[in-house]
Amino acid sequence: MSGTLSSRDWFGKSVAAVLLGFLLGIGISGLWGWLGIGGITGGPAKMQLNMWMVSPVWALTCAFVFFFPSTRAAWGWLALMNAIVWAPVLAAQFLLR
Amino acid sequence: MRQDVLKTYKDVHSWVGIIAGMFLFIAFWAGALTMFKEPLIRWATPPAASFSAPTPIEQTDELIARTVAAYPKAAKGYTVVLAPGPDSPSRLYWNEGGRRDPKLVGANLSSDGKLEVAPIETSRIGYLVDELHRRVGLPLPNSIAMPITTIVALLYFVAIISGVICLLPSLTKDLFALRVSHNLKRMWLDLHNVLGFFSLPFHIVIALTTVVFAFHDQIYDVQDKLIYQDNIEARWEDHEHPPSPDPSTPLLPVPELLARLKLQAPGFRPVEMNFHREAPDHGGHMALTITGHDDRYGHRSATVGYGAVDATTGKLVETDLMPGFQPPLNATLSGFFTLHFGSFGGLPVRWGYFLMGLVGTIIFYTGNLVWIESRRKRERRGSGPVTQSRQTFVLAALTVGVCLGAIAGTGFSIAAAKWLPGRVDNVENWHVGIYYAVFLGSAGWAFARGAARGSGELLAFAALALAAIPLSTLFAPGAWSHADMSLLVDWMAAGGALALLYVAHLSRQRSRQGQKDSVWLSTAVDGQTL
Repeated sequence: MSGTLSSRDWFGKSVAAVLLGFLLGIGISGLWGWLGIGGITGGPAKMQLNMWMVSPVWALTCAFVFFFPSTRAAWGWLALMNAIVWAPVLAAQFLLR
Repeated sequence: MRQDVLKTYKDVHSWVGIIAGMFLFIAFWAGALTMFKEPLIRWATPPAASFSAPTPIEQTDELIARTVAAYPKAAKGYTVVLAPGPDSPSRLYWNEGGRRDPKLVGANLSSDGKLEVAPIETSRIGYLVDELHRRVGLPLPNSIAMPITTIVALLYFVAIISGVICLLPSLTKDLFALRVSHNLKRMWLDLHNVLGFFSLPFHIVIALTTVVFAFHDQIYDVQDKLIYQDNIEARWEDHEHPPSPDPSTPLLPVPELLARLKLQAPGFRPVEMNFHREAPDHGGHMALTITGHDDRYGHRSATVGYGAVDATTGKLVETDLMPGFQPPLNATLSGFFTLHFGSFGGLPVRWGYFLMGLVGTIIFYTGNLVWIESRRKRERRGSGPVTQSRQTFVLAALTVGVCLGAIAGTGFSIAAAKWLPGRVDNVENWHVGIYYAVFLGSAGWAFARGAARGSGELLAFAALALAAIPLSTLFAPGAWSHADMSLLVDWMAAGGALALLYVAHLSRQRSRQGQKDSVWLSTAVDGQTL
């Protein structure tokens, strides 16, 4: 992909970041929530930490999404990252509950 | 770095800056003021007429017994004030209203043993400043304002990262340069860069924590569905409670409780003791939460941390939010809060955060100035007068009107605290009304007069608004001064007024003798090209 970046496709990329970046944040918090220290029954303090983790993932996605060469690439890559993160989360919910 | 990356992120930075900049200006201005909310509230609260000197701490238990006997609602929960002052004048208070609509009533024993009971009339000016900060200046209900604050915080984070990306290639060349010269864009950009880069960690922290503060309800809701399998309520209860004492065991006297607390937590300075009757299924005992601070640690709230004490033994039983006693995970979480609130390290950090807040306002203001200057059409030799574009005039007027309007609005609204009590019914509504009237009036003025004339006039007006604060203390009929830490408010406002007056003088000079092709020149004509 050798195209030059531009800010023209800002809208599609922004929507991808806001939606899929948020979902990615929730997914990473779920990964840590289920499989991190203490597991899903880690208690209130761990649950708060799970919530806090969403913010940096979401915000970083919004900030760096403009590096994707196109809107389609932004949606594609973020969807793939979500799939990678969510697969073990869903598996854990199924197996560990 | 690739030129197209730079160009892309420059565009992104410009537009998120323009959209979020003025919301952030107001949020940072109000946030800086919250650093001194305690002196501000004290400054604005009239001396209490209904209470004599606070009951000595040794007589607190007698005061509690007599209050509880006379007022059944107080028996359910009451708070002992350890250092009563003008803003909290009685030794004891309780909530006679509901949870959402509190009506605080104070109780005190006079020196001849009479029970004094009266509503607590603490000034609500702190509420105005807090809400302006939380809702980025918008007079909207939380359900609308908080999502907007979330968006502003995300845009703010995008602005931080994109700003750094734009600065990186020329960082070593530009960072230590402040080129005050004929090239105004260069000058404002240098200032914007140096302030932004050196306060970068602060801004990253504020942006990320704001997303959480404004959006945590929604995050928890989504996590409930997708992570906790609709089970979040039960998970919250998934921890051990301290053993509850037998409800029939008598409570220790207040001075004894304080002495035992001091033995366990010598560095902790308690502020209030909050007693509340637990529900029968939680033991039905009288629980005790002590609020206070220990400046060596971070605090969970903007001012204090909390410890739970067994009121029958004086033993600290829950220290999850107690500065210096928190388990590692809770200490980490409190770290996030305290880094936003500046509630660690005492007064020096308060001042630091206040200055960082003001620096933030300068970053957002100069950001708009750079936007305007980089769109300037240059007058060249022999080209004759040039007409600046419509959008630069609009943004210039908006920047001046909104930013200075926010300063003038808070100034007059705070000053009104010395006029309103006893003269109007709903003091809080008046504070809010005065703020928005002045704010909207200023924005309208900037457009009616144009940015060039309007900026000097509104700067002088904002200076007058801040000057009105000490002047009201001195001259408002029936006004008061507590002659304590609240004098800080008068002095800071006076200093701010002088600073703004000086800038107003500079601004007037510029509008008369500035560069001919500037939107800030009083004779500049509004362009037609949009």
